Amino acid sequence: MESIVFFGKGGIGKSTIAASVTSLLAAGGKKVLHIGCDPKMDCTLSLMGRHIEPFAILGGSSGRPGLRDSIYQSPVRGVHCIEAGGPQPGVGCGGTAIGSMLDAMKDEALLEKDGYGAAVFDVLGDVVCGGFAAPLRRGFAKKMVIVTSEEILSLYAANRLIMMAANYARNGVYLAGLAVNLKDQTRLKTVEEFARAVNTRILGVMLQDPAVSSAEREHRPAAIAYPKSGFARRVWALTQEIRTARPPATPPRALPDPDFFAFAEGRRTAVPAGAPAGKGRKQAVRSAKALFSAAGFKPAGMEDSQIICDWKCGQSLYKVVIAPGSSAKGDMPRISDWAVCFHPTTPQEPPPPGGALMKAAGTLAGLRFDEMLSVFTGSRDFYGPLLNLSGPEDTTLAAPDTPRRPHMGFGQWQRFIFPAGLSQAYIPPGSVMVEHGDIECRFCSSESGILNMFNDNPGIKTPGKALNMPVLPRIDKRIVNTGFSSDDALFGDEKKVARSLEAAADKAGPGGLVEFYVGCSPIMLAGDTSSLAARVEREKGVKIMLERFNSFYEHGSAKGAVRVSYMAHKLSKAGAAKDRDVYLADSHDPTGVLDKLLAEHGISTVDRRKDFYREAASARLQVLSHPDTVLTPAFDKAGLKWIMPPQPYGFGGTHKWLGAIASALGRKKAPAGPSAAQKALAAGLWARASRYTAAFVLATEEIGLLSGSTALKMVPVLPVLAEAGFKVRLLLMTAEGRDGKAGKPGLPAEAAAQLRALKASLPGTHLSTDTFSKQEELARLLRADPPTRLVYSDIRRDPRVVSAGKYPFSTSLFEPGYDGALETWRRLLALCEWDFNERYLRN
Amino acid sequence: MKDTSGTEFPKTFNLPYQLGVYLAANAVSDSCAFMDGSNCVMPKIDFIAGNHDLYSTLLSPAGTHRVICNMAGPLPQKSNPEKALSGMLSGVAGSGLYSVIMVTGLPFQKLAGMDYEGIAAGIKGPVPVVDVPPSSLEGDWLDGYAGALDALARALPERKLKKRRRTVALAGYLLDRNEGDHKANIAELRRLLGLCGLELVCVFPSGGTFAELSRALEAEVVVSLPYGRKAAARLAQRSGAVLVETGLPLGLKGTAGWLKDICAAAGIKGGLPQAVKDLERQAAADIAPLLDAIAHLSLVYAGDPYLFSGLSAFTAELGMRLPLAIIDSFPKPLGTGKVPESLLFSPGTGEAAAAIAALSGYSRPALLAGNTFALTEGYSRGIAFLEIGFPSYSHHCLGPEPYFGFAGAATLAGRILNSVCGPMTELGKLG
Repeated sequence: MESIVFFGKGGIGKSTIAASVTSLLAAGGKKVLHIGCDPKMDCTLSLMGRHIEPFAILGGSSGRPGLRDSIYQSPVRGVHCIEAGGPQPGVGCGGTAIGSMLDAMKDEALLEKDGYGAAVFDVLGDVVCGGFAAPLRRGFAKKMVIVTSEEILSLYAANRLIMMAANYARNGVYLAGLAVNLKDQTRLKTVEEFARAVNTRILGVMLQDPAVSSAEREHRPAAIAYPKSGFARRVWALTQEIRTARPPATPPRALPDPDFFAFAEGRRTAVPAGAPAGKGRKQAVRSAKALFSAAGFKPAGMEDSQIICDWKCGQSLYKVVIAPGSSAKGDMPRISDWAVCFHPTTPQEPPPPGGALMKAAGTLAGLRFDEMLSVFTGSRDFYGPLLNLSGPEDTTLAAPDTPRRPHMGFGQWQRFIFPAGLSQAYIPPGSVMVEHGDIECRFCSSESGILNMFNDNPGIKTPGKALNMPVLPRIDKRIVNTGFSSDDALFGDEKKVARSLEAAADKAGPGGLVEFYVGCSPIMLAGDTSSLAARVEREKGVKIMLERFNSFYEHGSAKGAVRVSYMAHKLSKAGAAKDRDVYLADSHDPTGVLDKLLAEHGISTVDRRKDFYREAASARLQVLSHPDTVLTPAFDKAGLKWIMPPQPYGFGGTHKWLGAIASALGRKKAPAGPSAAQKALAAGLWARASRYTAAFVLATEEIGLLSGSTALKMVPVLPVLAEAGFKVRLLLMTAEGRDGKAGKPGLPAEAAAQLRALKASLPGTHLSTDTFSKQEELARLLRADPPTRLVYSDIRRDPRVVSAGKYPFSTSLFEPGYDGALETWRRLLALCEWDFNERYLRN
Repeated sequence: MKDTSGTEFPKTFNLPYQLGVYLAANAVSDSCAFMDGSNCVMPKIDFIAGNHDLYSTLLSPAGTHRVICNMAGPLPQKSNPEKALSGMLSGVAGSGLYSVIMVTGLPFQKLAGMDYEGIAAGIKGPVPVVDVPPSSLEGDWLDGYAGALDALARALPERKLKKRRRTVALAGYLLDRNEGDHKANIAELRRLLGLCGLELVCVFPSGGTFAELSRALEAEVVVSLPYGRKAAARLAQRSGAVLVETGLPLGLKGTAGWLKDICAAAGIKGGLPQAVKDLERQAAADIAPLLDAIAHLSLVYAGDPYLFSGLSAFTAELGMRLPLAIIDSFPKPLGTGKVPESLLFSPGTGEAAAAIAALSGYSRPALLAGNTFALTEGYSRGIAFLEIGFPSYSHHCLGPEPYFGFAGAATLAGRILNSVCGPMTELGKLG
């Protein structure tokens, strides 16, 4: 089946030529489907003699049944027409309509089932996103025709479209050539030179012809309306050329922008016509690694989407850069679709051997840039070098020290200890959140659950404690989700955004705060959300904070300032009598263990129920468990006293916590410590604990994770272990190990200093260290030491620990208060004396 | 002021498309789902790994996760995101970690017109890379699962496998976890088909490897199950096998009818063998003592549409009433199951709760059978609850616990009885 797609700059005569080609193909006996891919919906005007209802209206957004209803029989015999349609100008996403229509055509196998002999796609003038390139997807257009005039901007558009053709060559699409619609008949030579420079051919030349204007007025294809006109003769010849076009022996090659402008200015292009872009490709693809090696290039990684290689020349080693032609600097020598130069850090004295580099690089001329990337494949670390293709801003993904949950780090060995704190963030009580996103966006965060991989929350499942599990995303009186849909994509989302903001503003009430998060799909539409927010803000008397992405868990400085201001205002206005001692401001413990503990020591607490501001304002002292960049300045601003005492874990920690609260309340008498009975129980447990060792596996620079205010989810794990007499063992991974390179393990000076400080903070504790550089060494270390029964890991049932016959433990086992301390030690000892893993799961 | 936002912007009883893709990845032990999007795609794994499926291997402490992403976002714009994606996919394909890679993207990437099919086809790696249409804006989790199964069917290598007589492949099985319920289901169906003289050569997917899926092309008969009709049709078309569309083999009559359809497609004449009939009668005898306890009771269902079809027929067999079904997907064909008096597809959760609360008098339900979200959304308040389907966070099957076939019918009837008549339920009612 013939399948042709017309592209070209807007207003260049594309639809006129495409419609005439369609009518001539039909006149030749083919059943032709003419497919309008322009939201203006005027591609089929001359073939139909009128506007037709587009697919987007008849069924494009919500399903497939509208497809055949959207196909119209043209007055031109043998021609059927369909228009994709799209949104009104300035709203929605036109590409969506085209993509949806083509998806439907593919699902229905329309072209095959309905017996079309040809399909002609007429795509809008300026292809602005992949949606408009949809006809180049697999199974649709094969031959691409670019309509251009001799004008520079038209040729510039044609050059960009050739880039697109190269991109879609993978789908079997090829550029048949140029259809030239000359404005100035004397300047055909310009187009001919351009065609040579980009290695394509001219399929036909149209001249200005009054028949075209007349046919346009009549809404008829010019070739049919005026068959004896010069235009008709020329378009007939063009049609024959298109029909007989075959894939070129060497593909066209778009000019890099600097070369195009050099061409436009009449200067010689940097790339000679017919450069060996495709020479020897088949062989080259198979042996990219071998070619690199033979040329003396050793790929070292990626920087800003450029390949960095070590290149050996004589006795010297140089670093060189291979950049894609599209982004290469003007002075970089071009070879194929890439360019090469020495790395900017290369010393200039003595001058690097430029000639030798060009000679060596020339041996790679048969490779395209994309093919060169294959030198990085075949490695388990596919993220490391190739992620740089996405740009340096995305490299956090593969960085060794960033993941806060296991699934945030990829292709890398997971840490045993994950940093704390981030998951504690929240939106201010009383404020309302609007999520403007699709259903995937709604499901972008979840509770970890009690059995999943990551131990997210302190405290195991205890009667009375809420069960953590992933649930349907919340939508309640404080959260509005717009449920961004395909209709919104197609027709625009402004009305829905306005309604959602108004609903949120009504929930927040005058003076309230609305946090408005715009997700990825609406971002693509680039709607004017800030104006809408400003209008609703003005009309409803609320503050609307607009943020991109679902970043509600982040407390950035600007957002933090708004939140602080809102919370301080609400706290100041709460107007409650200070009739209680303490408000546990950030406690999420519904069992009320700490409230009971305080009550036992004569300190009253506020019952945490629903009105945060009234409850907080009714206490003389706010007690926090962890640093908070919003709450503490809000308390300060509202004049509320707050403290962040040491955490109440273990006997010592609990006593210090109580003491700090009592002191802050001005109590002169220090609270009592654990009871005699509690001490007796502890003595029995401590006697057993001294037989066992608890290990911590971490990188040398992570020693700080074990102490300090944010250590181990704010739970003082090491002091609690030390209090009971457990020995502590640190297994430290050196940098060599993390980089995956062999080397003699050692402890850097900074890590050694941190270690000394840690030892000093745990007087009397038996604390030993070992280093390792490979995972196999860690496995051996874990297995080799029988007293080591516990290994800290925030990964539940961490197989690296279990397979050594040991038990992973984490803050999830730790409970606050005196009784909580006894329960914690009992749990830890139970693990130490449990032989299940050793007996059944040890490798 | 009356708050109407809940009606215009409701929380719906539905699950996203990509969760279905993850379920398919979870069901093929050496597959990888590559998500073109930011890392917010990752927490969805928690809906499966560890919570619904205790044996899931989607996440790995070694970092070799089977769902991965490339941190692509709408901003900043890249000059050629397709090139970056191709490079990354080549790397993944060459890593030696996976046997098949399914690539798809977040909805914004569809709006951007990413050509996943072309990109996937252009990757020349040692393992197949195949696209799953990025249809999150149009589809639900069942569409995602079906799309991923179809992608896997497309990815099977072009090898001429000789079809063997009297062999069957089940395509479109929802293997949502690697636990004892599905292992037992598959064992039961294998046993029953074996008694009919048919060898079950492949369950597509069964929790095994990608290579094992190729055996579907050996089968003489491809049975199209509702969760993967397109994949089944593609497999049958590729191999030239007989394609037979069925519902789920659930309940006594349901299982017998299912076996008859397959036998007919395989050209086996003369009805079901006596051994199968004996098993059906035995299962009926096992169930019979329960009937007095559960007949005439009213049941509400909340979960996936295809399980509903099978379950509604089975509960009718048990003499139960099913006045209301709340379906966690967009409208889907329900097959031959008994249609309830009220059927809600992807309703607002408030609307669903109100529909249950409105059932009173003789229609008041004695049992809610549904997934975990039926529980967490409060549908079962005051009603006995049977947790079934995806997800089931608080019902795990460490040992065999089928719900398909004759063995499954007896087991499921037992679960219904235990839920309705269990002491906790009675105590709960008293409380």
